[in-house]
Amino acid sequence: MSEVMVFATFFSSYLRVRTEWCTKWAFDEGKCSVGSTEGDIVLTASDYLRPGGAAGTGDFWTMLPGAVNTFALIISSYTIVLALKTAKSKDWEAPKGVLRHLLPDKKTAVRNYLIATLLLGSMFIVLKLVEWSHLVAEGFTVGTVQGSIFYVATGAHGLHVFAGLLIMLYLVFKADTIGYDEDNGQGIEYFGLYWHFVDLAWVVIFPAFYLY
Amino acid sequence: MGEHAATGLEKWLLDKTGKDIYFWNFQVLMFFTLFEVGAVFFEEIPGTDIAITRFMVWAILIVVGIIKGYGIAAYFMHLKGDPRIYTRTALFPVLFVLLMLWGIGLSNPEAVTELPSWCTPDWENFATQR
Repeated sequence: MSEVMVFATFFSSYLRVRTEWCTKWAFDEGKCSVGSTEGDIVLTASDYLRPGGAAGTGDFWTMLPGAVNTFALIISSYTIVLALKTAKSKDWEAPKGVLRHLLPDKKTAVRNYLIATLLLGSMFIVLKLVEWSHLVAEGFTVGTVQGSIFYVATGAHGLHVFAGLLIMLYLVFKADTIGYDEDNGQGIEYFGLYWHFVDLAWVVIFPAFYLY
Repeated sequence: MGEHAATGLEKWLLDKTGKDIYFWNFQVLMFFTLFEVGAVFFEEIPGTDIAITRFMVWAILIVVGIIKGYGIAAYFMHLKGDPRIYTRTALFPVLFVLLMLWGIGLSNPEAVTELPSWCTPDWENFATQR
């Protein structure tokens, strides 16, 4: 509950300031106060990242890290579900074809699904840093209100992903040594709930901060 | 996310396709994410002259967000099929979130300094009277 409230605080603060800003969209719609010129337009992160954004710096490649990260989190949500499902299954069978080499037995399959989740989460952090470095290089710094709310909200989310990666290192270690089965699979289950929540938070953050 | 016997839609999908609800939920989430990102990448609906307006983007982002949120919470977090008390517990903070969005997020810029008199405490007189 406290986690939901933390992200709701960021989101409502963003909405509060966003409705006040004279963004390019608001300017084009004639919503800005009388006397505003195009030079007074407030540039948000999405203006720098979106193709056709008001900053003029956005294209396919600047939007790509955020888009790839969205897919990475959803795929990682699925791989953690597969890790749990494999751990809890009583009659698990190795898949046929190429996957048989990656998932030869139940213990290795659980470990490899967890490693896949770990790699996707790590990729998320790396791409986020790539994207931040691009934004900072373009002048979108934490020194402005729009930069501050963006970096704090996405940074808090990134911190949750990073914390998840640390926990996942332990899960991978345990999967590789003791192993997970139907009796001790709760560890993956509880971590999975946390990881899905992180994904759920991104479902709100991504469109609000990157696309809108 | 706890395992339980497949019922209803989950059982139907499993019987018809041989794939469980997690697989199909994953497919749906991937499709809608593609749709969401596409709404911003394109300025016109591909193959047509229909412009994707600001309000169309808003509508797409909100509707897709709700669908994806439901997919993750209901199937990946497994609230659907678990006892209702878990769903109620998970939805409880949503009440406060809505209040926060309404009270802070959607308040007008002068909301803090120009609250209506009936909800503004008269602190100076209050202090004098005490």
